[in-house]
Amino acid sequence: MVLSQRQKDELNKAIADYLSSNGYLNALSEFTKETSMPAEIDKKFTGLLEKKWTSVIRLQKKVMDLETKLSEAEKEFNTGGPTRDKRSPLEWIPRPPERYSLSGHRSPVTRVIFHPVFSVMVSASEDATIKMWDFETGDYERSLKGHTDSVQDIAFDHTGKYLVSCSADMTIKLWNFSEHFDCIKTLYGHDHNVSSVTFMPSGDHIVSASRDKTIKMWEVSTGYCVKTFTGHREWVRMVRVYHDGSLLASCSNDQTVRIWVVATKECKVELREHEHVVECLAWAPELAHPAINEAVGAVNKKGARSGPFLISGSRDKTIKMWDVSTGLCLFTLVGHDNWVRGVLFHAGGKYILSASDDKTLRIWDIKNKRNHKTLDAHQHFVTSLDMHKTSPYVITGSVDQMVKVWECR
Amino acid sequence: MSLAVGNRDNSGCIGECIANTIGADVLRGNVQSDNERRDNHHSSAFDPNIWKTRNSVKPAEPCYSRRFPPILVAGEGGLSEYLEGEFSAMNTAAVPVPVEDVQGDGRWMSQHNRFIAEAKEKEPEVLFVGDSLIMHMGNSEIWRQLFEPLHCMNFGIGGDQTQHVLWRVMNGELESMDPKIIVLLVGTNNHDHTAEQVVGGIQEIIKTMHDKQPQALVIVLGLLPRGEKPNPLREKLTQINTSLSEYCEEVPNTIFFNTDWNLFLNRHDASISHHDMYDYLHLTRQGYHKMCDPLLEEIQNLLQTFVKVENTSIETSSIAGELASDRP
Repeated sequence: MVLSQRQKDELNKAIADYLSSNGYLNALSEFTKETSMPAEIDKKFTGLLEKKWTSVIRLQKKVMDLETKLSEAEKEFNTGGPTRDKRSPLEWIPRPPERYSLSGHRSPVTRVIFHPVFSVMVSASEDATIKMWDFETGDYERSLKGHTDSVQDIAFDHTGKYLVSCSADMTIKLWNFSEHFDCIKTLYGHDHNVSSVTFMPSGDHIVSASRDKTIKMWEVSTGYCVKTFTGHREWVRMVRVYHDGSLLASCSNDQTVRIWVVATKECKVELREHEHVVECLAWAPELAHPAINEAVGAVNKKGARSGPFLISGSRDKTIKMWDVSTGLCLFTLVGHDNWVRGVLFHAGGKYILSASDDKTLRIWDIKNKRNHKTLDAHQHFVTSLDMHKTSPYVITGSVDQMVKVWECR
Repeated sequence: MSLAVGNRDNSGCIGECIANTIGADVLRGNVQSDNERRDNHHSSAFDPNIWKTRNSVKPAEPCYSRRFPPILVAGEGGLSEYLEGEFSAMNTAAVPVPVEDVQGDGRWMSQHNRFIAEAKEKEPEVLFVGDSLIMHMGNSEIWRQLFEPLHCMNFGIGGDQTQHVLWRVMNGELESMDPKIIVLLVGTNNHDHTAEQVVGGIQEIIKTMHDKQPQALVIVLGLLPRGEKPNPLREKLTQINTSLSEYCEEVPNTIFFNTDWNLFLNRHDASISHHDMYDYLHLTRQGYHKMCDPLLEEIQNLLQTFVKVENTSIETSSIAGELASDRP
C-alpha cells in the first residue's frame, strides 16, 4: 500500500499526536526528530489515529450489514418471483413490517379470525373475552363477554351473522353478530375444556372438539347435541369440516389425525405419522390441487391425485400434507424450530402459511415444498393466524397478548 | 420394603396428623396399602428389575426408619412411651406439611392454588419445582429468553423447605399434566434439619414425583453454596449433595445435576461475590447464567430441542460485541 506524501504527513502527525497525548514523550521526540516534523501539531489531528482505528471496525460492520441486506434483496429479486407490481395478487404474501400491532387483551391471544363480509376481525383470549377490531383502520370496536374461562376457538357462519365460541369453561356460546352482539345460546354437554369449534357449511349445525376426547355436533336452532364422534384416545385439539360438509378432520394429543364421515359418525381414516401432539389442521381448497400435484410429481392428468388434501401442524415442529383418499402422507415441511400452532392455505392456492411457538410466521411454497419466507412475527409464541379470502391481509395472535395485521403484497 | 416410605400419605391430611403424636399411628396404618399401591403401579409401568434395583437402594432408608418395628404391638403405656421416643426421631423434613401462614395474607396457599389452576390448562414439557432460587428464576431474563420457548413452568415458592415442597407435590401440583422433565431444587432453607434429614425429604419428593409422573425424568439440582465466607452451612450442603448424587445414581429416571461450586467461589478465599449472589444466597442475572447455562444444555439435549436465541450473552467478548459498543 502506497500513501501519497500528503497522506504520509497526516499519518505522521496523527501518530505524533497519539504519542504526545498518551505520554510517550521519548518516542515522540525521537519520532519528530526522524520525521523532521514541526513541534506544534495542528488541532485537527487530535485523536485522529484513534478515530481511524475505530471507524474501520464500524465501517466493517456497516459493510457486513449492507451486504446481508443486499443478498436478501437479491434473493427476493431472483427467487421471490417478479417484483411487487408484476406479482399477481394470487402470489401476494404478508411482508414486514406489520401494519397494525393491536393491544387490548390481558392474557395470551388464542385465536384470530376474519369476518367473512365486513372489514372486521375477531380475537379470542385466555382473558375470557372476545374482542372485535377493524383491520383496515386498526380500531378496537367492542368486547364480547360471557365466558368464565379461557376462550379457545371462535368461528363465523358463512353469512357472518353468527359467531360461535368455545371455552375452557366447558361451554359453547352462540353470539348474534348482525345486531346487539348478544350471546343468544349457551350449549352445555362437553365434560371438559372445549378446544375447537366451527360451523357446518350450511350454517345449521356446529361442530366442537373437546379435552373430553369427543367431537360433538349441535343443532343451531334447538341447541341440542345431535351427534357424538368418539374414538380419539386423548384431548381433541381441533376439528375442521370439509367444504362439502361430508367429512370432518380432527387432531389430538394422541398424535393422530382422524377423518370422520359426518353421516355415519364412523372414523374413516386414521392418519398417524406425527411424533407429538397434533395442534392444527386445514383442508386444501380446490385451487391448491395443481400445486400439490406438482409437488408430488404428478404433472400429467393420468397420475394426478384428486384429494381431498389436508395439512396438519404438530408439536413435533413439522407440517404434513395428507391425501385423505389414500391415507398417505404426501410430504412433510420441516423448518419451524418449535411447536406449530396454526396452518392455513393461502387464498391463491400456491402457499401454505403457518404460525409457530418459534415466534415466526412462515410462508411455504407448496410446489417446491420449501420455506419461502419467514417473518419474525411476535415477541412470544404465535398461537393463531388467518388470511382474508378477498383482501390482502393476514392476522396473527400471540402469547405476547398482541394481535397483528400484516399486509400482503 | 421397609418403612422408608412410611411417612407418605396420599389423603393429604398429614399436616394435621403430625400435629399430634398419635399421628404416627395413622401413618403406619397407611404404610401397607401405600406400598402395595406403589408396587402394583411400578410393576406395570416399569421393568420389574428396575424396580428391584430401586427397592434395594441403601440411602432410600433413612436412619430413623430402622427404629420402627415392622408391626406395632404395644400396650397403652408402651405406645405413648414408644411414640414419645419416636417423635423426636421422625424426620420432619420428609413429612409433608403446608407452610404456616404467619403473616396472615395466605400468599403461600394462593401460589399453590394458582400453580394447580395453571397446571390444568398449560401443558408444560419441563416443570421446575423448588424454593426462591427457582421462583426468582421465573422472573429472570434467562427464563423468558431460554426456558419459556421450551414450554417450561415454574412452581417455585420463596422460603420453601423440603416438607413444604413435598406437601405441594402431593396435593395437586403434579396432576393433569404430562411433563417430560421435572427439575427440583430445594433444601437450602431447611435450617432446623440435619443433612440426612434434608436428603430424606428430597428423596420423598423424588419418590412422589415418580409416582405421579412415571414418564418424567427427574433432574435433582445440587444445592448451591451460600454465605459470603466459608461456613458450616456450606459443609452441610456439600454433605447433602454427596448423598443426593449417590442416591440418584441408584434410582432410574433420575439425574443428579450438580452446579460446579467453583463457578461461584473465589479461588483464593472461597468467598462468594455479590455479583453472583447479591445477598450471598440468591442469584443475580450473572449468577443465573452460571447456574442455568449448563442445565439448559442438558435439558435441550434431553428434549432434543434447540432454542433460537437473539442474544443472551452478558459480557460480549466477540467482535460483534465490540462493534456494537463502538458507537461514537
